[in-house]
Formats: sequence, structure tokens, C-alpha cells
Amino acid sequence: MKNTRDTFLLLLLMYFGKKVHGRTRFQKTVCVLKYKYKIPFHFKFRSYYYGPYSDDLADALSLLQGLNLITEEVEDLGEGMVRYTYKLTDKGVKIVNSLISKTGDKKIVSRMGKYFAEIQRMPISELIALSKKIDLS
Amino acid sequence: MNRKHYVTDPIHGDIEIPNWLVRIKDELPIRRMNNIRQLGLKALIDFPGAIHTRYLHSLGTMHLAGKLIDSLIQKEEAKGRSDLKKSLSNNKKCLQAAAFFHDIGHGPFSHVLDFVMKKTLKTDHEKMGVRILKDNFKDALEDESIPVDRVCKIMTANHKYPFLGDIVNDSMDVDKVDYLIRDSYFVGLRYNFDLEHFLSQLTICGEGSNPEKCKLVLENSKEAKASVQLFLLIWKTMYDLVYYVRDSRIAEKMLEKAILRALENDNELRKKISNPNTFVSVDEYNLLEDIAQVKGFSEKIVGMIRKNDLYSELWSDELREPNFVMNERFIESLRKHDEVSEKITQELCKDKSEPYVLICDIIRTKAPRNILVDKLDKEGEPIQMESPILEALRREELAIKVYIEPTLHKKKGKSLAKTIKKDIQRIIEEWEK
Repeated sequence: MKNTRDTFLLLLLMYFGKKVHGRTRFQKTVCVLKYKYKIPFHFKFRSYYYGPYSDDLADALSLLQGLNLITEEVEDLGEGMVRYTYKLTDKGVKIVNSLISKTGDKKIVSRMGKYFAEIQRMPISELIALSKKIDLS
Repeated sequence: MNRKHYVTDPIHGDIEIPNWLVRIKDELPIRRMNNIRQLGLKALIDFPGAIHTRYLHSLGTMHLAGKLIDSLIQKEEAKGRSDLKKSLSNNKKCLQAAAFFHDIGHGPFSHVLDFVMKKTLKTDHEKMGVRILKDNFKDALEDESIPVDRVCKIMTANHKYPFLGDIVNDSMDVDKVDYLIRDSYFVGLRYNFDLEHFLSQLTICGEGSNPEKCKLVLENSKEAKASVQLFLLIWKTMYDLVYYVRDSRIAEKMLEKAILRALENDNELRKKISNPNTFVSVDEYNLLEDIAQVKGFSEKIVGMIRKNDLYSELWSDELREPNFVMNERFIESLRKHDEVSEKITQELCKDKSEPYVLICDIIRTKAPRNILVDKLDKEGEPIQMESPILEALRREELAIKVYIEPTLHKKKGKSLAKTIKKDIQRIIEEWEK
């Protein structure tokens, strides 16, 4: 789908996930969706400390928060560790619903739902290991 | 024995000038940084004390890089990690060079010119910096055993050892530390913190035998956390009170439009700015003169800025749901918000007799990047710093504003203020249809 926009795909991803736990999981999920499952994200990834990382993706998430379409909640895991959870706001849900009804490519919606569910079931260590095997070139 | 060279700096005291810099400091691309003020137009509009230059900031950044590297070398020695200690020692000159040259590609009125360069010349200060460095200083640096390719990799955060790039390009890099303290001193706010103490809170996390996985992180201690929180508060305050201060911001947007127009109308000027060989002669003084020579809009705007006769803020609002109803095309475009504000400006001025009598501005607050701590999680990766202050600062906000030309403001300001939000909502609805 030539004109699919990254921000739409991100909102769609969160629509299926309801909640996405962890910044690392978010980054690796989008990377695997792009390279393994050919969901047409345009975000550029580079090898980084925790495996592939995209500054553009981090920036887009931050933008969606600023526009009040998604929220980021912080969960204290103890011992100085925290986990960030992303979910759509009511406005975000409204926009995704309208986009789903308007999109000409219904396949992208079902593919996103199917592959995202697969990735959600993976433990984070497995997801990181999988993303590190991806050839980013 | 070589004589040591020093300059005296109001922030750091004596700064030692290394031999490689003594050799090249009078070359044009470096002298030019003396004619570029760090805060550009802010010295002319809101902060007359802000006359400090890019050159002084570059020296300060290089100086801090040296201090930080020495501190890290000592820590690695104490930890017995000889591989990392050796890597830092071997790269000290390269790191200091990268710190000194990190801004060499910035033009005058840097962030104003950044947008113009991206929009009309399809280049940016990073690419320009690499070209300038390679074209002008390769031989001199390599004579001093400083490989220019390695310097460029560190400058652009592409070095295979992340902790080296982090020293000049990360959430707590020496560039930010220097510009925050220096800018606040020269604007007269005098925010400060103990620099040596702050730098001593940074360390390298990872296995010494695997430098590709090592990161510059914060020590895992209460002192380190307190220190970085103070740093972040100053950083945020400087954005609110200085970097985004209203009148200077308006002047910067006016100048941006004057330069855009000048480049459309003056091919010679366009060539001068796009060619790295001539770009190195473009400083604040001759650029303003060149823009003022372009008759019409550009000439008029430079005259207004010089007289501090600025546009006024007509209207502003937070750019978010539910203040505005947004569609996916607009949301996606906002990832390049400077281009969006230029496009809205064009739309708002469509039916006006003169260009740019209204200027739209979108300001996205800066959020600090992740700060990693010297403690590993169960996956063996360093954890992110947790702090309510950091969380509060990370919340992004977008503001949309419209500035208006003084004559139009007198004639139609009140009526335009009433309708502008509707006009912008209409533009958003029609976005790229």
C-alpha cells in the first residue's frame, strides 16, 4: 500500500494491542512487523544497544502523545526499574475507527492484527533475539 | 619542548588549546565561528548580553570533552578495564576534535538557516560539517595523528563504539553541558551547577571486552540522579525562558522567511550558501547584509529586525485533540512541523496582497532522551533512569501560533484574531486532499 502513513500504522498497532508494554518491546515489534512481516512502515532502524532502534519511531510516538492521541503510563517495577505502557486515548480510538472504515486496503488491517498478536505472545527476550537477527541493510 | 597555548574563558577559566588547533585556528572556517553568535538574533532582541560566539562554545565543548575523558580513564583504571581505558586514551585527541568541530557546519542564525538549508538546498548542518572538515582540515589533523574519518564518525554518532559518540552526542553530552551553562551565563540568568561533579557522575556501562556494547551512562547513585535532575531542570527552563522566548522567536521566523525569499530571488546567494567552499565565508554580518540587498520583502524584513520593529503574536493555541480535529494526513505531516507551519503560512497569505504578512509557527517542546543508569536489567542491558522530574519533562507539547505584520495588525488585527482558528482548522481538514 503505497500511501500508508507511519502514524496511521502505529495507531492501528495500538488499536489491536490495546496496550503495548515497554519501549523496547514497542521498538522491536515495529521492526519485526516491518522487516519480517512486510508491514509497510517507513521508519529507518539502526543497530543499537538493545538491537534495532529507530529515532524516527521514538519521535513519532512522542508526537502522538503531544497530540493527545496516545498516552504513556509509567509502572514502577521496583529496584529502580520502570515499564512504560502505551495505549490509545479516546480521541485516538475515534481516529483509528474512522481510518479503518475509510482505508482502501482492508488487508493491511487484518495482517496487522494477525502478526501483532503473534508478536505479543513472544517473551521480550525472544523478541529482542529475533530483532537482532534482522538484516537492516 | 612545545609551549602550551591557553585562552581564558568566563565559564571554564583557562582552556588549553591543543597543538592541532593552534595550527588551524586562524583558518577561515574556524575564524567564521567568531562571527556567529551562539544565540543569533536573541542578542539583538531579548538578551543583549548574549554576544558569545560559536567559537567560544566549541572551545568550551572541547575542554569539557577532555575533562570527561580524563575522568572516565581514571574510572576505567580503577575498575581494571584496560581495554576501555586504552580506547579512551587512544581516542582522546579525536574526541576533543569532534567536540570542537561539532558545530562547524552550522550557518549564521543556526536554527533559522537549518530549516532554509533543508527546504531549499536539501542539505543540513551535519552533512555540511563533514564536508567542511574533510575539505579543509584533513591534512592538518592527520599530520597530528587524528584520522578525520574517525572524527566525523564520532561527530555524527556513527562510531562503532557507542560510548565514544555519546561523549559528544547523547542525552548528557558535553555539548549540552557547555551550551546550557554558557547561554544562561551570557543571557544573565546565571543558572549553574558543579560541572566537575556532574561529569564525575558519568561512567561507562558494559563489558570491557565488548566495547561495541558499551554506553556512557549515569552512575547508579542518589548523587548522580540528583545531579542529572538539576541538569534537566536547567535544560527545560532554558527552553522556556530563552530558546523559545517570544520576541526573539518572532524575529527568527521573520528572518527565516526573508532568507527563503532571498534565495528564491538571488541565484548568486543561493550558490554561495549551498557550496561548502563559499559557505565557510558566510557569517552573521555578511549574511544579513546580503539579505538586505535583495530588494522587496527581504530588504524590508532585515530593516524591521534591525529596528526591533517586529510582527506581533496574533493568536496561539495548543495543537492537540480536542482543540483541533486532525486527520491522518495532517498528523503524518506534523512529523516535519517546520514544513507544516510554512505550508499553513502560505495558505493563510493566499488572498493577501503581500507575502508573509501572517506567519504560522509550530513549536514542539523538546523532550530529554532516555537516560541510562549503570545497572543491568535481567536481560543484561542498562536500565533507564526513573524520576518523576524526568517523566514530567518528557511530556511533549505542541503550540501553534500566528504572527502578524504591524500594518496589517493595526488595520485588521482584531477581526483576523477572531477567524484565524477557523481558518487553520479548515486548512487542516483540507490537508493534502
